[in-house]
Amino acid sequence: MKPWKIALIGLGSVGRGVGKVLKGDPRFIIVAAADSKSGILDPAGIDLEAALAMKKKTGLCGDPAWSSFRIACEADYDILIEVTPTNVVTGEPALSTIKTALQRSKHVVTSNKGPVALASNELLRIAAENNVGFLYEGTVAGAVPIIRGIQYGLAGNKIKALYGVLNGTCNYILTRMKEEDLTYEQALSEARDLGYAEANPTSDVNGTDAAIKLVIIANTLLGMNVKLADVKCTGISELTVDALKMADENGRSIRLIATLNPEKNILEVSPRLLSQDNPLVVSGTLNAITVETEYAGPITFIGRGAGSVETASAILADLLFIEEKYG
Amino acid sequence: MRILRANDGQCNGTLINHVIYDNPYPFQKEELLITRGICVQKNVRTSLRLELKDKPGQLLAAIEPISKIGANVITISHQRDTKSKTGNLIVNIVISLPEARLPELIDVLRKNEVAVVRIGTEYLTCTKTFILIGHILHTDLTDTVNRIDKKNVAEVTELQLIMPGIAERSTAKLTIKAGGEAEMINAISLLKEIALEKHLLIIDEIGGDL
Repeated sequence: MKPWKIALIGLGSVGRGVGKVLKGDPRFIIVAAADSKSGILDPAGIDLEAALAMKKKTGLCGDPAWSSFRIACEADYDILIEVTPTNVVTGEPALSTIKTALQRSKHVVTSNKGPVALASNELLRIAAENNVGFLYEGTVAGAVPIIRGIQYGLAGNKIKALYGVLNGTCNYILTRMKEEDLTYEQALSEARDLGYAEANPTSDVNGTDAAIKLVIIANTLLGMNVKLADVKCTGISELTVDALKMADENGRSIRLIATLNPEKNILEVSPRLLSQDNPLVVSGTLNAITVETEYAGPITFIGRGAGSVETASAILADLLFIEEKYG
Repeated sequence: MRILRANDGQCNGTLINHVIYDNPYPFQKEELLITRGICVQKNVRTSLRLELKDKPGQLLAAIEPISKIGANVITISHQRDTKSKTGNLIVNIVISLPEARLPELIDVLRKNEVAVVRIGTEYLTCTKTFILIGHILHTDLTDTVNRIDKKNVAEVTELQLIMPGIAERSTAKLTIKAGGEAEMINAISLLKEIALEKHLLIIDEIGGDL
């Protein structure tokens, strides 16, 4: 059987992880790749390591004439993998790239939250009209299979409520504040040093990142039609060490929890008190999601919510889903 | 320790002439609502501390009369390891039933050799803990507490405050007890309103439906 031809858009951390995961896999061949300034095409298969070495040396992975959008429009591929950084305001340039690929009847797999949070209904409609797959498991909780876990694993169950630790950076900061009596600023600085927090961590610590993921879950799994502005958001930057200590003395922990309750119309991200034996009280950068269901009761998913190879694991699962369904 | 009624029997929906309380039963007269001569009894939450002999069938001897009399069991706490000084097992039960039926229940329990060692009316059975961060004292703490406190509806029952420095934000642990879920939802809503007005960060607890 002929391998699936892949166009890989984005050669950052997740793009490199995808390269690692797909290396040597006979089912897939990367025939096109693009960074933010250039692109490279080779129907026989791209040597991604050489392209990355070139990018490191020159700042470009290939020819500036081949932008990611041009690759989406003109290249010969079966599946487009879009893993560029998130833009939550417009979703661009990823949104146009994804739309174009779907309109050309190409499957799309993405870990980019922006386009999915802003336009999931439209993108899923275009995909259905063109009989192709649009999959986005990596957008929420990295390696944790929450999208397909709810969609297929819990099929038929009404989702009564969902509580999630959806941001590893915040969870790391809260864990360290409690463990080592660090102030918020000290824990954030440590998270930056270890690469768990971005140079500008605003969207993590103010709850926006978790809120975007909540919007994706609400719209794509619960049939809601909500926007980021509909999520009531409170971050962790105002938390004091005393608050974590008081919680601890009373057998509780504080975590940044994304809450979704369709019946009560609750869509919220805020620091919450939880009993220490609650499975959502995870350490470090882990993510955890408890789904309260009609028949199955509460189910909790726990795992690595970010990272290069971890997110690539979700992308690989999406690719194999496409192979099974459309192959 | 009896409630005497002119026309004894079932009180619910029945015309009565008068009600005489022969205390010390721990419930209040306001709980009995009399409308146009019809006595409508409101269920009262009552906590009972029972002591049972450590032998088979004793728990059933305690539970069965409660069920038969039509009381709703709110909570039961029974730990085999916890015993009274006399070696009896201790069971704490919170029930909800019309107050006039309580003496009848106590009589049956005692006939079943279940010792009722404590009876208390539980008005505030729903508890939630919060953490507040901000200038808690300087935004009039008394006002914050007073606005939540409503007798027999919701009350602030515990407050622990840490103030690390004059200009620094303080942190407080606040416990609210309320008469039920509806009352607690109202108290939380009020607390959130106060927090918004006084620029306090409120961290509430995940638990139950609240």
